[in-house]
Amino acid sequence: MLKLSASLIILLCTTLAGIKRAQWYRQRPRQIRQLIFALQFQRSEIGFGTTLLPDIWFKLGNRLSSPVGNIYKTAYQIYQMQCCDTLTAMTEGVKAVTNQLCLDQDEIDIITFLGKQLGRSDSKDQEKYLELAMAELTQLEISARQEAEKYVRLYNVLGFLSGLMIIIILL
Amino acid sequence: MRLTVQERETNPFKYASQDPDYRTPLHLLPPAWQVACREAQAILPVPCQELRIRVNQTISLIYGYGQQLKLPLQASMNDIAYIIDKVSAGSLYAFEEEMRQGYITLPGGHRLGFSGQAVVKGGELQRIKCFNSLNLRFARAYPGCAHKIIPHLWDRQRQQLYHTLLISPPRGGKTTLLREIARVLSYGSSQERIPPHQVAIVDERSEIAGCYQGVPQFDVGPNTDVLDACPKVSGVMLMVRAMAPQVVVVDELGSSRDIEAIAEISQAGVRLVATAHASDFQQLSRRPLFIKLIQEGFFERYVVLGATGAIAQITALLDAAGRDIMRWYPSC
Repeated sequence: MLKLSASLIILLCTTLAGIKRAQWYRQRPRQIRQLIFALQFQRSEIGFGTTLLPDIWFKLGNRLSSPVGNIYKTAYQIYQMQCCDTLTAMTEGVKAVTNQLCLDQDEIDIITFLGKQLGRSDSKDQEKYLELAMAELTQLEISARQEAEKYVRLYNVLGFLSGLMIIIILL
Repeated sequence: MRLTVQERETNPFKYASQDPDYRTPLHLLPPAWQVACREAQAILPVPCQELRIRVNQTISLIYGYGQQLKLPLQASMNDIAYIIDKVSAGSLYAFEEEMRQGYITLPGGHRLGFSGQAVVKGGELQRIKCFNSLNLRFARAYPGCAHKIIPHLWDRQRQQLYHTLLISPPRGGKTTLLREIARVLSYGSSQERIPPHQVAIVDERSEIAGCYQGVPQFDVGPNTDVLDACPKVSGVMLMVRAMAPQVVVVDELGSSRDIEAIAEISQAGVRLVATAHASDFQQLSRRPLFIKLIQEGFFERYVVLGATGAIAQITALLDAAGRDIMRWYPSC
């Protein structure tokens, strides 16, 4: 009886771990698309030339679903509550929600680098930075989608099978 | 705590009038400076007018008529960059025109002037970078400062406002008085039997209404339309055509094109209240731009302000020919 319940727990844990990893691969292209949308939104707002960066973050925070929306929501809150500049607010915002995101370091780096450039020059310059970031993210999204196709089913099955393997070895 | 975007959007006027952060612009300074400035302001006999910040120099508060109070704080390039970032909310792209003009109007109607390294392209100033000096000018409205002059600007026979020009040297309070006249005309005055007027303010330098992101930060009255940051020449005719005002208010006539705009107004049957730099009427009448206007008697009233250090200290009211109608002395 003890062996059976221990085996079930092991199987459950490894299966869940597999599902979680598969979920990460499934979510990544979706979150990259959300980031691309956020950059497009920022480009149009900056191109119009009147909306301030924290106000754009506020709008994006409400518009995008979590966790990507949380980057902007947190950055806006940090900027409002603390005596800090926009660069610090954005960096802190990204840091605060990194654990919730299903993104690779590449995507995080692009957003962090962009955060350093945003608001620091005229609208033409800003649009160039945003377009560059969007192009990079688009490339990453393609590879993320390919990886998702490859790994989602793999990790779903792998979790269950590795659990089974552990049980067999232990028994 | 500052207002959120949502609160600002639902009630834009609350932004300036009720948000304690925006009554003074000190929240834009580095935290250590805020305390020092508040303490210094508390000991000043009169409200301070400016805060001067220059790189590698101690910062100073200007009050009264040019008196200085040096604060034991030295400004660095980082401090200046911090202030610029706070003022522009990290969004320099939204202040491109201001970067060319050399100043930014802040929430509350305050103004930050700056100098640094100019970026010039094709002989034209594109923007300023590497800021090295800042001048934070505190804006204050003085409701009631026009009460003694308003009855004299109203033609009771024709039931209309006289074309009026306010004259004073810089820092005399022309814009403050102009704003107050616009406000009183917009509300109307039952005491003086002046009905509410449709007022149009063409605010070329965002000084009269102190617009921030298009919203006037001063009370300019319920019947006032503001065209912000627009050259007077095009702005005046735009407002006359689009908003059909009874009174047009403009600040600092100084170029021949401004005078052309005025000529258009006289044809449109709209009353004008404007300001010009001059220490008195005699000096004004020697300025080539104004000679013709004075000869034609376009302005029916001239209000002269003295540079006494007091805000909007009216010293004389003159008729179209420059004769005294009334004179006030600072001691009165």
